[in-house]
Amino acid sequence: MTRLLFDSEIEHPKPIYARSGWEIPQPNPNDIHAERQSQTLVRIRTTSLIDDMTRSSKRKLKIRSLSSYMYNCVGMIFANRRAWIDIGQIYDILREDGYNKIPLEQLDLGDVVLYTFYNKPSHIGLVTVVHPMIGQIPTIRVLSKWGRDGEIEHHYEDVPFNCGSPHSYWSEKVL
Amino acid sequence: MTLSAYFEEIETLSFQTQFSVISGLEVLRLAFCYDSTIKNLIAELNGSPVLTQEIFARIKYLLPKAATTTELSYDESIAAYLFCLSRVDLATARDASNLVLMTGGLWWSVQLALHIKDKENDEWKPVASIPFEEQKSELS
Repeated sequence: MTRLLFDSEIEHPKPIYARSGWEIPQPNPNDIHAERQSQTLVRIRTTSLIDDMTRSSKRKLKIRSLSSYMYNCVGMIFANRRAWIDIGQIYDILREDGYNKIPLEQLDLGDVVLYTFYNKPSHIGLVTVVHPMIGQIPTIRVLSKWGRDGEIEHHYEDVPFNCGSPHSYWSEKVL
Repeated sequence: MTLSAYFEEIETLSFQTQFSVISGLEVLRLAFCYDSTIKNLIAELNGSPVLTQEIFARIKYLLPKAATTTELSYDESIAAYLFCLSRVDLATARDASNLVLMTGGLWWSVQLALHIKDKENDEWKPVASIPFEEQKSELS
C-alpha cells in the first residue's frame, strides 16, 4: 500500500509564508493532539450538516471532499489544504498577501468571501461561480472547508450558523 | 432541565456539528457564549459545587471514548463542558484541562484547555459577576 507522507509521524509543521515574506502562525506542534481524524466521522458529520441545511435551503450543496486531513477554510485557500490556520489570523493574511476589499458587484472567480460571527472573522470561502445578477440578487457560489468537516461547494449565503454570515469580499487580482 | 438531559443534548451529533465547523478558538468561545444550552447549563452550575463536580466526572468519563470512537467524536462536547467549568470554577476547569491535555485525538478541547491554563487568576471572575452582554466583550 502506498504510504503518503502525511501518514508518517508528524513533526514540526513546515512554515508557510505570505507573499510579503511574513510567516503565517500555525498551531504549536506540541499542542496538536489530533493530526488526523476518522474518515467515517468526517463523512457522518458532513452528511448530517448537509441534510440539516438542505431542509432549510432548497439550494444545492455539493460535497467536494471528505478528507480527514486537518486543514480548515484558511488552510484550504492560503496553504493548499496543508495546514490548519486559525481564522483569527485572516486580516493579517489578506493584508500580507496583497488582497483588497472589493464591492460585492465586482466579485469574480477566485476571489474570497469573508464571513463574520458577531463581528469576529469566522470563515472564508473561495468564489467558484458568479452568475450575472438575477433581479437584485447575484448568484454566487463558493468552495468552503467547514472547520474539521468536509469541503463543500454552496451558495455563498448557505453556511452553518456558527460560520457566520457574508461580511466582505476580497481580491488580490491585478488587471 | 436535569443534568442528564444536558448530557444527552450536548453529546448528540447535531450539537457537535454546530461547533465542529468552526475555524478559530475565539469563534468557538463566542459560539459557546451564545449557545442557549451552554448558557442554561452555566446558570445551573453557578453556585453548585456538586453539579460542577458532576461535569468534571463527565469529562473524565468521556475522555477515553473521545480518543477511540470513530463514529461520534466527543471533542466538542468535552470542550463545551470545559467552557462551562471555566465560567464557574476555574480550579476545577484547570484540573479538567490537565486531564484533557493527557489525552490524544482531541482538537478543540486541547485548544480550550491550553487557553484555560494560560489564564491568570486575576483575569478570571465567576460568571455570576459578569452580565452576559459583558461576557461577549470579555472575549475580545
